[in-house]
Amino acid sequence: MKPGQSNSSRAWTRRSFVQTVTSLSALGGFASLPPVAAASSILGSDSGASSKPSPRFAYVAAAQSIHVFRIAPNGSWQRTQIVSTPSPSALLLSPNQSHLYVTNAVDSFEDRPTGSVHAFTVDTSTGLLTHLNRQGLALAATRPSHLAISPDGRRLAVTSAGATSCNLLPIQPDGSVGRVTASLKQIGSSLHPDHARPQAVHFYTDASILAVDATTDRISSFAVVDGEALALNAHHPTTPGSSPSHITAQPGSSLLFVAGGLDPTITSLRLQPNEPTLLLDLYRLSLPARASAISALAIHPSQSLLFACDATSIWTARVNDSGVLTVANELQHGLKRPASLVVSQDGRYLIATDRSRGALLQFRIDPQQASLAPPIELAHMESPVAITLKHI
Amino acid sequence: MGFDAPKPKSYLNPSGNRTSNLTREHRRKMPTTVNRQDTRFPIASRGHNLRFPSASADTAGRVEYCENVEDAATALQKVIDAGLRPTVRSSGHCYEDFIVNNPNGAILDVSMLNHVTSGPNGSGPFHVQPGSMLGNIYQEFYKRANVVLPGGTCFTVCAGGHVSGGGYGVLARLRGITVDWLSSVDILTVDANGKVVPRRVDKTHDPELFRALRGGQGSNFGMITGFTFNELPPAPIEVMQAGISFDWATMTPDKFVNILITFGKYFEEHDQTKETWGIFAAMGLNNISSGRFGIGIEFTNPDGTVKDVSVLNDFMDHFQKCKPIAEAPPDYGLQSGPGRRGGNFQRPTPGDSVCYGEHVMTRSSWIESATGGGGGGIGGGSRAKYKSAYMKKTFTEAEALALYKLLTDDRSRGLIVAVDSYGGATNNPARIHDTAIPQRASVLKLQYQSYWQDEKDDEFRLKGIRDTYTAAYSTPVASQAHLGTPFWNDHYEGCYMNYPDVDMAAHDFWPQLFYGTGDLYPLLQRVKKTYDPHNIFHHTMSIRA
Ligand SMILES: Cc1cc2nc3c(=O)[nH]c(=O)nc-3n(C[C@H](O)[C@H](O)[C@H](O)COP(=O)(O)OP(=O)(O)OC[C@H]3O[C@@H](n4cnc5c(N)ncnc54)[C@H](O)[C@@H]3O)c2cc1C
Repeated sequence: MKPGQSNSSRAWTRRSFVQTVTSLSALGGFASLPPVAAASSILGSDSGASSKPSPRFAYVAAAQSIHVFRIAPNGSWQRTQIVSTPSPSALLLSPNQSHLYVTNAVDSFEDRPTGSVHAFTVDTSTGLLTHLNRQGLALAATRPSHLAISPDGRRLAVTSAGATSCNLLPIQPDGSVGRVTASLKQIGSSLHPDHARPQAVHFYTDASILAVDATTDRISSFAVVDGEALALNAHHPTTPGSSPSHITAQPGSSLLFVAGGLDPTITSLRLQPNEPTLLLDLYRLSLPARASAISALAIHPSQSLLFACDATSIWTARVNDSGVLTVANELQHGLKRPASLVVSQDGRYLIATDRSRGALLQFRIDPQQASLAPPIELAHMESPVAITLKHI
Repeated sequence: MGFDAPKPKSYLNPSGNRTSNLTREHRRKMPTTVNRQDTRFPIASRGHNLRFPSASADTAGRVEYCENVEDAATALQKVIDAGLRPTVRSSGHCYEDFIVNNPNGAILDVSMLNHVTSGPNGSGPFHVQPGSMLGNIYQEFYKRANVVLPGGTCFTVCAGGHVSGGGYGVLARLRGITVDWLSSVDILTVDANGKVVPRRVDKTHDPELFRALRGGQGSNFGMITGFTFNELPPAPIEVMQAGISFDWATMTPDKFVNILITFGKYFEEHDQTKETWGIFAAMGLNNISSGRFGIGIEFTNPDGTVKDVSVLNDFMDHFQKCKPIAEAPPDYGLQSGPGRRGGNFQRPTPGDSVCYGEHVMTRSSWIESATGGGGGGIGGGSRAKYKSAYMKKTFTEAEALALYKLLTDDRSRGLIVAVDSYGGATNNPARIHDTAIPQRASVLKLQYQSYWQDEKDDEFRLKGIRDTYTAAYSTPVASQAHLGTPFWNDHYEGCYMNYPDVDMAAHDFWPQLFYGTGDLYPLLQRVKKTYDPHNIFHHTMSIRA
């Protein structure tokens, strides 16, 4: 399939944006709400593709703020709140989706050389955010780039691009983030020492973390010891120069996908927790030569499709049971530096944040054809960098 | 491809337990690990300032006691390989949270690296390891060679932080500061590949790192394992100590202003008068609730004797002219004792101290005065907060009144503002360029100190010292763009990194406050990037490259 073409059985028609204005008088301390861009997805009320829940709310990290969207049952998106937070770089909901955690890619917090994590409570019925606390990371852990939450919801792991370190922080019973209890720093020379150092992190059990490290070309396995310390278990080298930067997996799955930040390759790996070699490389997919470095990855709930974006395209790959990846489709459609991807739990939509265009794009997924329909623009904002969806 | 088998398991064990397959030889060379389960841990994981660790989550995961340089290198490599943050400790006297706030990290303690050596027959070079206490250094060099390291006044402060952060004491006017005498430094740095590299740095080997370690604080760059001084000045033979005290009950603003201005003016006017360089005076301005404040003086002549005390007399006369001996009350002088000169004693209360005939002075050998106070050095301590300022001129009336106002207010209860004489031999402008102490025009060095025991008093005590400091540096002589700080201008020369104060990090100009506005901070940043490319050695106020 050529770029821009779609295998979708449905025709794509463009909807205009509905501009409304609401106010948020109850949300003292937050930025007052600018005009809301509510977009109705043309496919929004599509019936019964999955028994899994559809998203109810979306949270988007953009320039100095988090944008909250309510997603109506008919699939339309309405911006309901804009909350300010400094330089958000990644965000994640707690497993029970009652709290939102946002990394602040700052160089200094409370006069110390460190980044921070901002915790919010999420109102179950409205999805609106209330500031809970902001916690500093370990010293030198500036510009945090990614975060993960343990399956039991009690710990937060945060990677810092500035320090190439992984920080461990407790999540308190009220959802606030406690003080850093441990920090592990990985050192090694990269083939690209001057390249930015994005990193990502993934909890595969409550006590085990994988961290992809772009500077050292390896995946590190850390143990959470006594619930508060971190110990290095082992390293899993990736191809030299690949600068692994993104990791994705379905919760609880042993199948993982790692993408390079400098070359357009995706590796599938299998976790074998009881084996001495914890990770087994399954397959390494190189995207076609025209592809550039991968900036985000997302796995479909069925685990049969993997989405990856580079500077201008979203690539769809099929995944078989053995983890073998095959490129199925490429969709360009005027994308300019998509920064993050998320798939709804019902498996029907892929949402991308397009940083340069300042747009939130929704793609209908066709699982059979392993393809994406051309996007509709859900909303505009300055530099959207990350998105997460609330389903419950 | 599977996971690499990790390197020696012991490197990876957060509890610090060593694995059993080490050879005996290895074991002998390994540092002693005190982990959280160890009964020594509560003491080992703290320093002397009991405010830290700030919270239990900030506590280190282990302490590695190193006994020799090999231990230190092994411990450092082990900690780096395990991905932990190392912080290095010699005495644990650090004023701020730099060492013990290290969540589940590793404190590398070099207090047992404490050898003090010299060349044959009392000649140089003189070598001290970082865990050597100043008191022991003074004694050893005295016994070995009758020389002195011009350094600080506290017996238990160690060379590691003290020397690399500058080091000054009662001989600063006479002999300069410690780093002025430093010839080379042995340091373990960590390279881009995470490997520990032992270096001996001096004027010709890694000269920028050497300069950085002459006052820029070792904690920014690596783990210091030794300092060498090719030459040291002769130890004074004897000193004369004296004191004057003032009663807060009879103090007036005018009198207070006059005392402060007189004190500062003396050192401003005598900064380059070499005969006076043997005077060290410390004015301790206590809060009014303490009842009194005073001036303590230690004096020796440039020849190391106190045969002639005219300089000291002249200095004391600025504050207190002695009354004729004939007017002395009948009991005056009855408590004369060994060491007292003239057999007089001062009457301290009530009112200001008074002398009859001649000033009261106590003579002692220099080594006794330098090392009084003994050893110790583990455990103990109190909660504390400190701040500092260098002054190029005496106090203005507005500054003195600002201090008067705060010190006579209960808000500053427990506060002591120690105003030390400074300058003299230290004020050699050439040293701006080969050391990392750019303060070479100051005549006074101030240290604000507050000590307390109860955590409940933290807020009150911290506010007291902060408010006083802010007021003192918000007068018309302060840099108007940097109010509340002694930022560099005609009157001030910033702060001292061995008296670190994290409050200053609230100002984006804090590096200039401590390191000056010249070429030094850019140099320190360059050195940091070169010798600590992964920013392994960092803390709240470390160099931000
Ligand atoms: C009671 C008292 C009196 C003092 N009097 C004076 C004085 O008269 N004159 C003066 O100039 N200062 C004085 N000081 C301040 C003193 O110089 C500093 O606190 C100094 O940094 C202490 O160094 P340390 O090694 O003893 O302490 P530590 O607490 O062990 O270390 C202090 C700092 O130095 C670093 N450091 C220590 N050892 C090493 C090493 N081997 N390698 C790399 N970094 C290291 C630490 O990481 C920390 O950042 C005094 C302090 C106290 C508590």
